[in-house]
Order: sequence, then C-alpha cells, then structure tokens
Amino acid sequence: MNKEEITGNLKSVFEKVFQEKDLTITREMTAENIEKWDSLRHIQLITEVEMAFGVKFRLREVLSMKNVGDLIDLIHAKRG
Amino acid sequence: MQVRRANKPDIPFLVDAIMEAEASGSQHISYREIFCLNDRELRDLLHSILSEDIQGCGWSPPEFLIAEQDSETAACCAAWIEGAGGLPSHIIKSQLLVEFLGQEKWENSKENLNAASEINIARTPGILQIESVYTQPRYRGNGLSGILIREHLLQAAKTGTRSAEIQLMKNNGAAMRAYQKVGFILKGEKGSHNNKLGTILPYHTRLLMAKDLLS
Repeated sequence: MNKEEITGNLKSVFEKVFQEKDLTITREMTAENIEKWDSLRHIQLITEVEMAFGVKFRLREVLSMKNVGDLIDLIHAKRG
Repeated sequence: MQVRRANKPDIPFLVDAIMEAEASGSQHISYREIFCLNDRELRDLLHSILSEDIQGCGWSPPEFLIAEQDSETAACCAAWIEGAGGLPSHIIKSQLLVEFLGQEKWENSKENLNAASEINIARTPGILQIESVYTQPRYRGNGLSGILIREHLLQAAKTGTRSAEIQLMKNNGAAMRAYQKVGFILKGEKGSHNNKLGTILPYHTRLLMAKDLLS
C-alpha cells in the first residue's frame, strides 16, 4: 500500500471517528484543525487506525507523531 | 532549603503529590473516581506512568521541582510548556492512561470521561503550565510552593516563554490565594450542572489563572 492509498483509507477512518463527511486529509493536519479532536476521539482514532490497517503502534510511536503526515509515514513503515 | 529537579527515586513522593493535588482538598481524587480504581491501583498506575518518563504533560520526574528542607522532600511542583513536543498535553495524558490502564478500562470509563470533559479548559500552546503543586502538611506555611512556582517561572522566562497558566478547582480557595501571591490573576472559569461531576471531581467548576512573564 503506497502513501496515497493510505491517505485515502485514512480519510474513511477520520470520517467515521469524527462523524463528518468529505473531510480533507492533509499531511500537515493536527488535532488543532478539527474541533472534535479531543482526547477521547484521539484514542478512538488510534484504535480505529490500528484496526483498519492491521498494525499496532507502540506508546512512544504514537507520542512521536506530530501530524497526520507522521501517521501516514508510520503506517507505511509498519506495512512495509 | 534547597530546590532541585526531581528524578526517578522521587517517584513515590510525586505520586502522593499528584493524588493530593487531584483531590484538591476534597474526598474525590479525579483519576481514582473516573476510572473506578482503589488507592493502591491509582498509586501503581501513576508510578508506572512517571517511570515511563514521557515529557509534555507534567507526568515526568524532570518536569517537577522539589523543595528539600531538613534533608527531607518537603514540596514539589510540576511545569511544562504546552505543546512543546508537538502534541497537546491532554492527548499525551490520555495515551499514557490507555497504555497503563488498558483499552477496556478506558472504554468502560467513557461516560465519566465525557462528564469530566464538560469543565475542561484548553491549555494555550507555548505557554508554561503549572500543575501538581503540593507541600507536605508539616512544611506548610513556609511559602515553599511559591518558591517552586517562582523558580519554574524564572527558568521559563529565560527561554522566552511569555506567560504561565494554572488551572485549579474553584473550591480550592487556599491554592487560589497562594497563586495570587505569586502574581497569577483569574482569567476565566468553566462550570457544569451535571450531577455526575459531584461523584468524580472535587468540584463542578474549574478556574484558569495566568501570569505574564514579560512584565
């Protein structure tokens, strides 16, 4: 799966977690860009991403992600 | 009296400090009530989290300053720059809690977490955050917390941080007066009439105090 495909699949996960349609996913996006992105949604987002992509993140990996671009890169690296 | 950075051997004291600060003079230690833990379980949870040494949310030993008096640990106070590592502190805390509580406990506590979030006040990115201010009872009245807070402010000002924030429960008048002595002023409050808050938090209204570091 390349990064474009990961971004496309991530869009569906984000729309499910934040219950919004037609969300635009960018690499620069952070929790500050989505009003509903609070602690509870963040944990739900990480869980849903792990399930959707069949990956498992370690604590320090999750905490090292500064934006959606980092998340895309990490998923890409884990899926090989 | 000596002031120093905390390190791993201080963790048991820091755990006590976080629990006492969270109780805010009440019977309700927020994390214990929200996640339905007993004191032992909460102590173990906080010990594990502090041992992980993740910075950015006030739950890492080096984020604490310690006041020692008569060769004893008398007081402590945590501080961090909000969002300095790229993530807001509430997300770091949540991720640590999920890691050490487990996903199931987190999921089962969502109703309590949602209720508690009704009085959340957003922390300002780039601003020094002061938390877990605690003095052992026998050392109170000596201004130790004020000394520790001022030292945090001094160190932050040296690195160009423009202001500091403290959040506290409105029922904690003693803490509010102590922070006013250091120069903090009341900036806002957030309350809720949700009856559930009375069972999980020390009070139903949270206050935000702030201090300009450039003046």
